[in-house]
Amino acid sequence: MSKNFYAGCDVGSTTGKAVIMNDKKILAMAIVESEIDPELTARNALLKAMAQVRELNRLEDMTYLVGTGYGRTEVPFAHKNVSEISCHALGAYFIDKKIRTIVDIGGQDIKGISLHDNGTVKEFVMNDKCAAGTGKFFEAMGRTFKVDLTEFSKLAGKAKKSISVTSQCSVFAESEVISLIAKKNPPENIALGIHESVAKRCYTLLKRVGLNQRITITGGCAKNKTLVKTLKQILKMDIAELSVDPQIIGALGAAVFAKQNGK
Amino acid sequence: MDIRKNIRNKTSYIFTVTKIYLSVALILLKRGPFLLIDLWRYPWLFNFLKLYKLYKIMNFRKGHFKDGSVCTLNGIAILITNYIYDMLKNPDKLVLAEDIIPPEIIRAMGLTPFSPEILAIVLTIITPDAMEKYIDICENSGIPGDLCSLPKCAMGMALGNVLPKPKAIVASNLPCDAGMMSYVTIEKHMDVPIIRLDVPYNFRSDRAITYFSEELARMIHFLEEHTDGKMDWQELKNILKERNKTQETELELWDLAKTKPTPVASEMIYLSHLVTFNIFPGDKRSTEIFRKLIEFGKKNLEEGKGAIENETYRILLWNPPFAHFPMAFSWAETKHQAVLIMDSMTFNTIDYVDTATNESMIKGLADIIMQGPMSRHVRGPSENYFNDIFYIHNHFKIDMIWVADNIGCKMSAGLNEILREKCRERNIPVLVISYDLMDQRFTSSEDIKTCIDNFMETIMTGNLETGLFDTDAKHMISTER
Repeated sequence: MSKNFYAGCDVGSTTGKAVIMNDKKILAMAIVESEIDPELTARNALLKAMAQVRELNRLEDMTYLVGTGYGRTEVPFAHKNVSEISCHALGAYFIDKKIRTIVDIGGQDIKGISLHDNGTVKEFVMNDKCAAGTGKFFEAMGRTFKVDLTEFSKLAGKAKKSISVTSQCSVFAESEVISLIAKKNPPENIALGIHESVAKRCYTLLKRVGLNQRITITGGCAKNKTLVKTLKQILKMDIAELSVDPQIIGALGAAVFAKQNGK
Repeated sequence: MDIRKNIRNKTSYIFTVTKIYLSVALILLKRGPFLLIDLWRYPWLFNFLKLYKLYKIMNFRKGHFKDGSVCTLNGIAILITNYIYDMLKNPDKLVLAEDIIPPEIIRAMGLTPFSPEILAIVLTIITPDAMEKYIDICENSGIPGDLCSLPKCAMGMALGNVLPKPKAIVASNLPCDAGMMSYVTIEKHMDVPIIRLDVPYNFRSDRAITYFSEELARMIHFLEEHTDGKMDWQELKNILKERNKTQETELELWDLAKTKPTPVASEMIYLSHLVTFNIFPGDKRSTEIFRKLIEFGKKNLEEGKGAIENETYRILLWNPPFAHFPMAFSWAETKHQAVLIMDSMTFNTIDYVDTATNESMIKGLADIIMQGPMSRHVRGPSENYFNDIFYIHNHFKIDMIWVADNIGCKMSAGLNEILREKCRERNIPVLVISYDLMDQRFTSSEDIKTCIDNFMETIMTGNLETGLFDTDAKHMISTER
């Protein structure tokens, strides 16, 4: 058993993710809810992942640790921090070397990333000034329907047709959705309309970095099956499903980076 | 050592700032007791007096580059002080001219040109929040918030009654709808006669030059009718001859900037041009500023030094510089070893003005206005925008393009997306920074830094070696121990 342990910790706005590897394989991964203090989020995620690795008892035992995500600079025990854009690219490419385009839908931003043939970042764009289309947007919409995110996705999946939601702004979209519900429109059709509006936003972002096959989706919202299906329809292209939890791709990229740096 | 260096830096800063404040005071104090009335009527003068803040740039620079930067700031400080002094002193000769209108003709007529847009830019560079209250005044009066903030500043200052009332206004259909609309508001509020110059959309033809020369003749006639100004053709000739000299000197400075590593950079290039060619073109003091800058550049060249140590990246900035974050470039030099080489507001390929006859001078000025920055970039075919960018990229050995994507500029928004595609085809790294030209509340300097950091880390320096992927992931995707 290798005694080297490499970790990546992605401190996001909504969740903290950690991945631990040794020289041979991925040993553990964990997802925790974000705390107000990014350092605490990072610690919680790492401790949860470490609990799955018998030989690891202390954070200090980590051979190399890379922090990423919006709170990455607030992780004092990280040896290095790397931007989440690089980490998502690295993580996705590590899993599937044919990936050339990524849409990452996180808690508070969306990113479109295009990759060179060697997996390095070619271009990226971010939607970081507006909550529309992010995880927070889905949360707000789910609240309007009084369901959680999984149920919200399932609800949209039941729709026979969609009702367009025109507002791109989360606040206005919420008002619009309330009006549509009040007018007795079927909730599932409204829910699908919401998914389509997010998928169109992703499409615009991806167009800006160039749409090259193979495309994948990462981040917490990648678990929303209806969103992935809607995005496929709008892109008229297939979306590659990664063989690991898409929410931990940033942390995985950070761990791969840690492995490479810590060797 | 650090303490000594700090003391030396602080002493040098205090000495430089004190010296420039004495020069500024000498000019402004010529107003005598009227200065107190001016300060009361035009509260933005207090913002101007915070000029010392700009000199913090010195702390980031060394050697001849530091001297060149200070020389630029000194020259600019004196020119702007004179500009403001003339405005305060000559209310009977004051002509409010939109920033795109070069002031040569107005000066040759013995009048005093004054542009609220230029004042707004200068004040924001000195104090980043200087224009926020005027933007709010403008928006609260019912002007749409999504217009470019530069015309919003001009309107806000007019509506806030902090601009002197001119004898006449010269506006144009440049560079955008918001700019045009702003002068309707200003005209109505000030109740002053106005002329709007009609700049043709396709301007690269003799027909366009002839048409626009007639427009300039109409402007001269208008000003003679509504002010005490009288066209002095000999004076215009003198101004334009000096303008040609300034332009020739500036070209020499640009030649230095082509060298790798560049011996001149940043404010020496963009701020010097912005102030000299927009405020005092055809003035000996403007030419003198460039001569001094060339001397500093040549000293660096002789000593085999670049403006900064370890120049790694050369930047082309497209669209107006970040007015509320003037430290952006000195920060980028220190943090990323990236130097600003050229920008869209500075670069031009305008010919010298032929001063042989009155007609040739007017034609030359017509060409200057039509081919001014922004004017030529957002009018006519999109090639006007891209040709300049790729020419500069090649000519000045640029490594990356930073696009200052002013959120209020609808005309460049579409162009910037096409630019991304064109840069992709050419494999040129491009960073589009979404910000508001005059309002830091939209994107703060910290946000701009984060955006640049992300780009530098991810695209310019952070691209990882392919060797990273020599491990086969298939064997690693397992959480079994």
